[in-house]
Amino acid sequence: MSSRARSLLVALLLAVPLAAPAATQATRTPRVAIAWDRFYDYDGIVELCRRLADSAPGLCRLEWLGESFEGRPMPLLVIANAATGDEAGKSAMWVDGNVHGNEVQGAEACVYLAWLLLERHGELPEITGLADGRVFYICPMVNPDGRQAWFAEANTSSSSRSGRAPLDDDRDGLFDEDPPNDLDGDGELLSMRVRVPPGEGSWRVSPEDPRRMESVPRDKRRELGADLQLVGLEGVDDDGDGEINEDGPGAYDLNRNWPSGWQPEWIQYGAGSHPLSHPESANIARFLLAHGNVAAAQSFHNNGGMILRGPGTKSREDLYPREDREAYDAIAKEGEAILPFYKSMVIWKDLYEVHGGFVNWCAEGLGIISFTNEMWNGDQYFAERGDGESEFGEGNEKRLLFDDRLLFGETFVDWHAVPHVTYGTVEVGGFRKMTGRVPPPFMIEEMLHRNAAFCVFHASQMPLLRADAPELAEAEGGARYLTLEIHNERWIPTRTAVAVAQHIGTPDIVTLEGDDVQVLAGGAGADRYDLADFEPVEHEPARLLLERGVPGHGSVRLRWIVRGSGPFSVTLRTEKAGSLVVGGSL
Amino acid sequence: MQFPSVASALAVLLASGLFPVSAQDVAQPAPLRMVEDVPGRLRALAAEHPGRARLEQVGRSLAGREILALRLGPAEGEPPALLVVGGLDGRRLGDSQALLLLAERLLSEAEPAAAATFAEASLTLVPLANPDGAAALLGQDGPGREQAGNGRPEDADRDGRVDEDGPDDLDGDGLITWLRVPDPEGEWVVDDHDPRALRKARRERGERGTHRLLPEGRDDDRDGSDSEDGRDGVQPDRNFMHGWKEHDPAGGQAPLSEPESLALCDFVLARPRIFAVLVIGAQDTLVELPKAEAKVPDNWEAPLPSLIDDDLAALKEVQRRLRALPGGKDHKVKGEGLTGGSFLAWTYHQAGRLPLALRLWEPPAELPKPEADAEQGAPAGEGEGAAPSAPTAPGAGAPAEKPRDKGDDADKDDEPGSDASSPVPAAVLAWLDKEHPAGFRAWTAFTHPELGEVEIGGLLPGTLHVTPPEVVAAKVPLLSGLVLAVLDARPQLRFEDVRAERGADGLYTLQAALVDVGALPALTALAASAQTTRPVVVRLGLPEGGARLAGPLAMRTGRLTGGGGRQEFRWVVAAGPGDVVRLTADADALPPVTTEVSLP
Repeated sequence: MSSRARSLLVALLLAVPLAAPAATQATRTPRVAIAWDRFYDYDGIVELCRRLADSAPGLCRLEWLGESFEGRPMPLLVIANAATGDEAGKSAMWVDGNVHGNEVQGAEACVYLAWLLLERHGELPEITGLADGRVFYICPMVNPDGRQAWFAEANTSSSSRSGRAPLDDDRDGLFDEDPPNDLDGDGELLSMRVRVPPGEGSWRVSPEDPRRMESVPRDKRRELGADLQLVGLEGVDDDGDGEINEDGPGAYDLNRNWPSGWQPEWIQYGAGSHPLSHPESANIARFLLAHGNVAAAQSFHNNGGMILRGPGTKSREDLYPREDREAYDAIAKEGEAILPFYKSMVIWKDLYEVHGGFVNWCAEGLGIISFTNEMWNGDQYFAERGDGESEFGEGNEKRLLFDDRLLFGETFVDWHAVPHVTYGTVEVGGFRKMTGRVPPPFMIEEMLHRNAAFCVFHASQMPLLRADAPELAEAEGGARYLTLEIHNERWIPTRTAVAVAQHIGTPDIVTLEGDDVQVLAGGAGADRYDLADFEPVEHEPARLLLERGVPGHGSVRLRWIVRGSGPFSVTLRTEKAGSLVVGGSL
Repeated sequence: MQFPSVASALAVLLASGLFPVSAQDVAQPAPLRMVEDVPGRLRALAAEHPGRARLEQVGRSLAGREILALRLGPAEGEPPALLVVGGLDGRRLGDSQALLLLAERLLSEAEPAAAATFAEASLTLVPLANPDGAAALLGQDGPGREQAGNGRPEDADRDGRVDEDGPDDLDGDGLITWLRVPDPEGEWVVDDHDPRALRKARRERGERGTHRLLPEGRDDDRDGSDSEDGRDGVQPDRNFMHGWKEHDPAGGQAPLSEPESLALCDFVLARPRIFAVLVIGAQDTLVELPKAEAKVPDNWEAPLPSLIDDDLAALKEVQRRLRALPGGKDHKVKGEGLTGGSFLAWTYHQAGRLPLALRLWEPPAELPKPEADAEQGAPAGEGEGAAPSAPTAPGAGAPAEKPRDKGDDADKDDEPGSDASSPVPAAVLAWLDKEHPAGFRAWTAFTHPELGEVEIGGLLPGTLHVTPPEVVAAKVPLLSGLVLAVLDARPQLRFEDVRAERGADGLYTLQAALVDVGALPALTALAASAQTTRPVVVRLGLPEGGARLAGPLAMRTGRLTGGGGRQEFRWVVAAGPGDVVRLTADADALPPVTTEVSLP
């Protein structure tokens, strides 16, 4: 074989793994076929998890985090390649969704991420590398009961956010006794309005579109004949206390139940009696506290198109030191490109104050770089960018246009009269639950893929350690300097700055061992050129503690003074980036 | 210098009746036998007094030890209750002992008034809320030592090893005391008042230290620090939500991360009829009232830094009742207030209950007057153990290589008193000499494997925290009077001024007032404002065929203050003469009350 032919062959061989997916991306038949243009109820998500785990033994397994309040097991997909190393020795990413029962697409986003990693493992080098070198803990349904109720019962896009443990919302000693009611039994929970004499209402039917209502200013009501009053969601006064729908299922917020910055109910709505007071949050906390290797976390919510990070309150800004903010910003900036219509935001500053949120606990309590994505943004209906006035109208006008032209009227229920025990007759109508906060079926897959791609990027930024070859140099008196530089090639440090400042977790530990090696001194902060310039520790030079870890896109240089001969090994042990072993010989 | 034999040291300890020892083969004095098995003691009391006392489970400690409550009061029903908790800090065994004696006293003939109180109110005692900490001091878990927390394993020195360098019983006496290490870099000097005591060197005056003080132990992990990673664990009384310090190892990984605190929280939340909590420990809200500056917030945006001032009135009333008791005015021990992360702070700020705390004792901080003090340095009870530290030979007890820096005579003008921050304060030694000479273990030379020539000795574990038995005995009647006074001041609802007037057409106007005739409020201002507790709901019950024409079916009351706070209600109903209308006030915090009115 000529050298030219040989090099051609080498080039071909090298090209094969890269070329194959390009040739098959739109024509390949999936190993696990899942319809990504729809949503799945609790059982449906569990079934998808089973299929994925069954499809990839050795790479993926299905675990259960515990049970929800109503006794539903909480599935956890673990993607960890047993053949490429010990799970605890790899950086891990936590991904969850659907802590709010109605914010359903978070579960599909979780399952999609797992599917992507498994489906393209062995095909796309980046995916293969992630699935082999990292671990993913994926919890699609933090709130299985809220999800199940949202699918099974009449709901709006916003109802069934809570879990299902009964609470006495109106403090009358009775629990969940006055929920909204599906008055006409059509399976929808819609808005309810009453007709009043013209001029006495605060709304009127829009002259342009009978489906729409217009708010009428007080001074124009008589002139415009405002004859509608909105009286809330469909429902009756179940408990006869004069109020309608004032004590529905649950009414708490599983995303205000976490230890960092937790505040009680009267300061933070939905907080629960104490942090981790609900089985769902307690189950997850137990898992995370037992898995110190989690270095990245993502929580999927809807909606608004946001990539959110903490803190949840201004007072906790100091828990996001500059070094951590650099990592957050680098990842979120890439996220804004991956996720058009999504903006990088800080929770308290750009959204609202949150006490005791999940990603806040991950970041501030556990030292994990953590984001919340608010999936889906109304601008995506007509792919509009910018903050200017929409040519498609505002609010419901735009949504109805979309409903008419692209969904052929599927998402709106026309106003219709229904008898009512208090009001005589009411009119009921409005948008169905599967619109507004979730995209229409034909746009679901894109949302899932882009958000999974953001997770892939975030996961790729978990610390990746590399060491230079150890360098030896003569020191006085026959001893030798041994210098080792360790690099982190990603944005996330082995120890976040908040972990360093607040003493979260254990420092990284570097040990130097060799049968015939005596370690006389050792320390970090070594100068490249002046060999004597380092900070020798007072005790245990063969076991250095690195409280600051290895910074993102940074390095640490360690130096020892040693005597002896023969082989030695240096081992760096970290909580969040596994171990690194470097050998050499004196 | 002589070593006292272990046996003679034990004998001295036992004679004092104060301090724990680990030797199991020697009978221990009664007060300590009592706290060695608190659950057993509570079981026995419940068995001896069926119908008057019963056990309730609170939970289990981290190590699985039982935490029990004893409830005195009516056998049936859920009357208003006072919860009394002791032993949240593992070192405060004397408080647990006080609560056991309190239970005994209340069940005996000593309190004739108790029977009437317990017919309508109940008292729940949790004498030992942190049994693992107590076990450490009692020597049930290795050598007797002080452990405020629950002993949860931790990496206190952050070196990747857990609990690898705790204290060690170097002299084998079954106790962890102190090492006095001659060291010019140390921060301590021998106290001029008492050569056995130490005080901080006054560095601001150029005085250099002469000694280091370390817990008895060695550098087990060879990291240059002695006994720096032992088993203190998380303190249940820093593990509650209000003012919880995140990232403080003593506070735990999350609020209520510890089984002891979670159990206590659940216990209180499951018992809304507990209107007040009394903590016996290092806190006090009754001798010195806590700050109460906060107004009822219009909008709750942050936790309150102090009590709402409206709630101070209730505390003042309890204080007044305490002072009216025999010995009440003379009880002047102050303490911590509503410390962040404490059970007591949570009790008020988040559970909405009245926060009472009484500290039974504090170690003396003042030296006795000079004349009383003269030549009393080595009291008889201390035996040979004290001999090395003759009062006239400062530092002589130590094989001190460096002479002590005495400073100059000008210092005498403002001589420091006893140093309360010291683990061996002169004032405490002076008190021990008089009352419990065995509480000090004389400094005894010891050749330390890493530190060389040192001394072992100092206060025995618990000395600064265990309320001494004679104080316990003296304070139990006061405590007993206090709990009965609080129970007698309990909130009590009544309907008053119930009237039905017949109008035209068979319509009746019905009026009633709901009144708290107890001295204490039905809800604290905080509970009412923060809505921690469901308010009293007044419901109208009509006879068959009756109709409500005006007024709500169920009405939530506002806050009823104690001492006659009232709210009035009015309805218009249609019913017949002789029909009976029933009014009910129900709440989670109070037993329901009912009244019936027959229509004229």
